[in-house]
Amino acid sequence: MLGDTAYKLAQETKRTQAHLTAYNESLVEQLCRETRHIFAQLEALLQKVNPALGRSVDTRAVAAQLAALHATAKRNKRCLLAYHHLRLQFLKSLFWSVGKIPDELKPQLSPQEQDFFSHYAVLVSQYKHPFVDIDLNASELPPRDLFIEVRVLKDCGEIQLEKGSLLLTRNSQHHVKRSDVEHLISQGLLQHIG
Amino acid sequence: MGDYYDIDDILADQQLNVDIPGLATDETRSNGDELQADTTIELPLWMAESLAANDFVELQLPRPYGSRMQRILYASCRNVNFHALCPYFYKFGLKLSLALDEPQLSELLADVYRQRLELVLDAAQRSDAQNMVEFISQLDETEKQTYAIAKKSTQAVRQWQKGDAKLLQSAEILTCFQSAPS
Amino acid sequence: MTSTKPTQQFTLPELEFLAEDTPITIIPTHRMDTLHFISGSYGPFQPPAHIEVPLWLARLLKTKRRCHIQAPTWLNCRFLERKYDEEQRQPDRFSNLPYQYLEIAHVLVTCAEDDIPQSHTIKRLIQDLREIRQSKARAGLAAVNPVYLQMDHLGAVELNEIRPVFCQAFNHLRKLEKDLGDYIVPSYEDTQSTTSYSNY
Repeated sequence: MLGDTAYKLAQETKRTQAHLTAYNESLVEQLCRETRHIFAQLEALLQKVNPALGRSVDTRAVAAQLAALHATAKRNKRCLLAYHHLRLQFLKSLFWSVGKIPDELKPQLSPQEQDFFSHYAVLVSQYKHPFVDIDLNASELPPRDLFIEVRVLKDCGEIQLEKGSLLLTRNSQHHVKRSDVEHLISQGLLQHIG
Repeated sequence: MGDYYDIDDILADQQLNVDIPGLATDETRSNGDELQADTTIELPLWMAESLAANDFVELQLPRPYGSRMQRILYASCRNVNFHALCPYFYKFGLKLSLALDEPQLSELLADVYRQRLELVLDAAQRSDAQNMVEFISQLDETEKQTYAIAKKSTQAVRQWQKGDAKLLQSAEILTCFQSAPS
Repeated sequence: MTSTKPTQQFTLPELEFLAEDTPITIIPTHRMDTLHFISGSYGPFQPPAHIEVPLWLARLLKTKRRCHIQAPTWLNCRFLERKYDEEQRQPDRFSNLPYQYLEIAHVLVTCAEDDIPQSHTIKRLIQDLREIRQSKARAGLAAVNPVYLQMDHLGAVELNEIRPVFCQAFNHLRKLEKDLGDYIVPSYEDTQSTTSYSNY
């Protein structure tokens, strides 16, 4: 039935809201193919009613078919765009809240999506360029103290601080400057404990 | 087209399939089957709307919105399982009411939503969420959204009062693809 | 974290932060010179003279044991009990409490418990007030019609709590009752496209 593939993708989009799954290349590909096929059908139908050919056809029936096919093509397009739009929204949010693509997420993204992420990062860094003193990625939680207490949840190796470096091994606890580790907390590597 | 990318709006278009009696001289073909005039078929709304716009077909209200159901809703809507009727009861109903030019349908829906709103908000503010599972499962998607928004809001206040809001948290988005760090 | 979309809500820590500009009277325990900040200069501090400072500074000095905080006139059992009675007597109205009563009370009972007489009873009273007002707000929301909604004397936290629900419900009703025009609450976020991602 016309529109079934699009419906499948729409349902997958709905599920993606709660949980991001791997980019469904085969379904996207299938839907694009179907839409190209519809386009070919549309062109053939239009030929039929071409008055130059002078054939007698029920133009009203052809018009109904044209309307049905056209609606399907538009529907397919809308479902495709919504699927990609939601995933791009996700990537943008990911950029602002985490700043990078976590390793375990990489296999879920298409190469184009990974490209998008890095291009988006470049765009934002160009935008940020004039405000060197303001960290646009900083946490919006109003600060209480300059220094905070953190526990390490995952090994992060050595990090560079304003003064020297610090080795972050799992389960160790540190008293550090908040602005130095904020990004590690949002990435889920450190836990803020006080 | 503010809702163009909205997945709920897209899914609402797919609901229930509107009954379509074909009209004389109209032969729509889908999947190669010839459709005779004056037959009644079900089509998804997005297709039906486009055919109706050109007067190829005439639309009829699907059963969950029919006069019998409307009478039930007028009498009492609090215990109706909307999720079973149509997961997008309001959104789809609104589209129908516009497509079929039946403004009283959307007015009925507005009344129904208002009456059920208090129950939804009540459930969202209760802390014994377990007892609410059945109630929630009977809500339509719009009501579920209302519930989720209200619950999130109330929980944020509770957390703050307990003193849990002053710590930096890991990004919420991480939960969309990974389990919480052990 | 910085989100790609502005949200409809303040976070609770943000509301608390805003409330910390409220002036409050302290009694310094140590002699100190005037303190200079971007937002202004406070002091000199000469115990036992009372002095008015913003709440954030009061909290800072209090945690460093350099002052006692004088509870605001409304933060006492008698006043709050009276307000609670008022809330009960008028089921469809909110009593007039300071706009930021929840935030200020929260800051003071957490950092200056020992300076506030009967702080435990106060905590309980504040909670009682919050609950009775919360159920009134809920009833008010359920009565929402697509034209207007009036709830006077709601506090900042309370308004912030109902704002997103109100916007969603109101816009939804607006769409259903079309003959009232196309006006949609200027929401900062298209509530119809609220996805789980838009909260970041």
